[in-house]
Amino acid sequence: MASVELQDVVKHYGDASVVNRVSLSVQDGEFLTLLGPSGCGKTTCLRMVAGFVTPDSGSIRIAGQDVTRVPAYRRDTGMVFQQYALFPHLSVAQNLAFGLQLRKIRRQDIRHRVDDALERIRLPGYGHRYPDELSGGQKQRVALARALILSPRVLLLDEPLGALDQKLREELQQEIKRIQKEVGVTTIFVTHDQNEALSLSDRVVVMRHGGIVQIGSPKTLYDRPVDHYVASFIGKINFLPVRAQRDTAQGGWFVNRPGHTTQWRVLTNTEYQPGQDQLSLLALRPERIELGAGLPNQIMGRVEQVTYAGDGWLLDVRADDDLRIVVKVHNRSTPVSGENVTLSWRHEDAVLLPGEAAA
Amino acid sequence: MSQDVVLSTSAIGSATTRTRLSSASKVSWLALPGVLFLTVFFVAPLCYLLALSMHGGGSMGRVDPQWSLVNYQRFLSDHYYLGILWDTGVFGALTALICAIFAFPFSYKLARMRTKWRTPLLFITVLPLLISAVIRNLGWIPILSERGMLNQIVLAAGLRNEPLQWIYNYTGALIGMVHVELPFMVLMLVAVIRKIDPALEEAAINLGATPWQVFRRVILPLSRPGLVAGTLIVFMAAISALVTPAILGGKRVMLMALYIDQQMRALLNYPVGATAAILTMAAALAAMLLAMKLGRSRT
Repeated sequence: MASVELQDVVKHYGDASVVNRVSLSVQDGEFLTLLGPSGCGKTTCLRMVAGFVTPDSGSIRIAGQDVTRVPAYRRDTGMVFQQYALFPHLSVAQNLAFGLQLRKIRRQDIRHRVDDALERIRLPGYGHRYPDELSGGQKQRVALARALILSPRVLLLDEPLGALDQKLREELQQEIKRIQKEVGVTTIFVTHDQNEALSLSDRVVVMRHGGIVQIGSPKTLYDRPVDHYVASFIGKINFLPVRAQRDTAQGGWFVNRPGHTTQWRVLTNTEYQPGQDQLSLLALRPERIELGAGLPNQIMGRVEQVTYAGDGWLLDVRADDDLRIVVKVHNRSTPVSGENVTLSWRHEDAVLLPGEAAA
Repeated sequence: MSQDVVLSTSAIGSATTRTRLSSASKVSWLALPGVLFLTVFFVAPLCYLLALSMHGGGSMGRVDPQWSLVNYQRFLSDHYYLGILWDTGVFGALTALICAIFAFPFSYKLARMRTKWRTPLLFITVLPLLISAVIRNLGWIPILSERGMLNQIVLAAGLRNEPLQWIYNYTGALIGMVHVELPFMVLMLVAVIRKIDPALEEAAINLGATPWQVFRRVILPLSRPGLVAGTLIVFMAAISALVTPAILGGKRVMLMALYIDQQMRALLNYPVGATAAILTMAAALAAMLLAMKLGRSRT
């Protein structure tokens, strides 16, 4: 059952269109991420679900109920803000109890639920502290507990890890994931960090200019991006301009670089169906390319630079003319710069993308 | 190695602190003129006033040479005098309360304003302070007097059959006082509300708080320091105000400042005037201590 549904939602600020006909449905218990650069409309979408922004047109449903005109304080959503937004004049326990008190719940029950919540975020005994006595990570965990303590119909996370350093972010990602699975709450997460999106989400919505570009599982987005934008936004990738021809015998496509005779084959592509000889992009992930001629599709090049990347090396390879290809290798022995190498890849590891946004 | 670095940096740190301290003590003589000024023109007259209040005496500038607390005894046992003191306190408290109620919504709107209008609006708020108190108060007379604008409107609208007494009474003094003091309250509140993160309001709304509950449980407690400071300023100004209550209050309003003025200038009864002044100051001091206790961010 769809837990949250956006239908043809539009929002303008003055002349600027911030969200443009977005339709989206989030399944019960799903962890869905809105991913995109700042200004792509992802936060506005989240705030429309929370009720802080009213759409110009379109409708929003939570658990089947149309809430488009329901004020924010009656929406029953739990939100975690970027800068925590803990009440500085209240202790941790009072922060957690805030919503419970508004609902006139018995004092004793409130105390139990606050204690349970502190247990869940692994901060038992922190109830009497004030927000300014907590570290950034602790604040964010309290904010998460406060958002969940009312058992909301949907949990909304607005770049909750943006203010934290890298190591803490990764720790809290796991914490959020664990708590979300424990509680089983439908979650919408907003971020501009692709790593966060890939590691946390059941599905990711990639947004641009107020619209949705692609919705899919992290694996789908990584392996089968629909266009240049998604492919380059998520992870590192190489783009090779090619012309494509349908392989009528075996399915898939033959491609060759304009002005070159070497032919490669591509088995996989998304919905994209290029016309005969239409200029397209061949997208190749650095770690799917091998050194040596072991695989069917090949290109020659000269190593320009070798960069150590901890879990391997990044080779900057210049193919015979002005084409640069980044390759990630895990071998212990790597070529040195200046060496000539052959690169190769499998038919199914390349993706054919529309060529309109030339690389 | 790394420990050495830590040690040496901490050594540098303390060295800079030391230089800063010594340079601070070097420039401390710059405070001397100020201290001297306050001693001569504030502390000394105050001591003189205190001494004056502890002598018997009477009108026409008579001061008995021997020390006594007779003025305090008379003042604190007489309902008339205590009544003036009480009225003054109530006048100050009412002015502060009305200012707070009027200023809060306006200050909130001003603080949350994102456009370039905030600065001009703040300037307009402060404008009344740039006009002489006498002129400002005289300006109220055509509006509030028996045949003034306000009464014309009340009569024309048929709300009353005869004109209301807006002026030359307690109400008039209060209107004039609120008018002068409102900008101070607004400035204090705008400063403190601007520091409240709007996300806190959204967090409260998200947890189910109605607009009123957001105000009660988030905005109001977080603006308490500004509210207390503003109340204190307005209260102090109101209990020591002379011109405004004199012009708009007429002869029917008797407050401490007016009483002191009467004793000192009209009757030349310096000891009694000094006693009233000292008592007013003591009451103000008590109010300030109370406000400071209330103004603490955490109780």
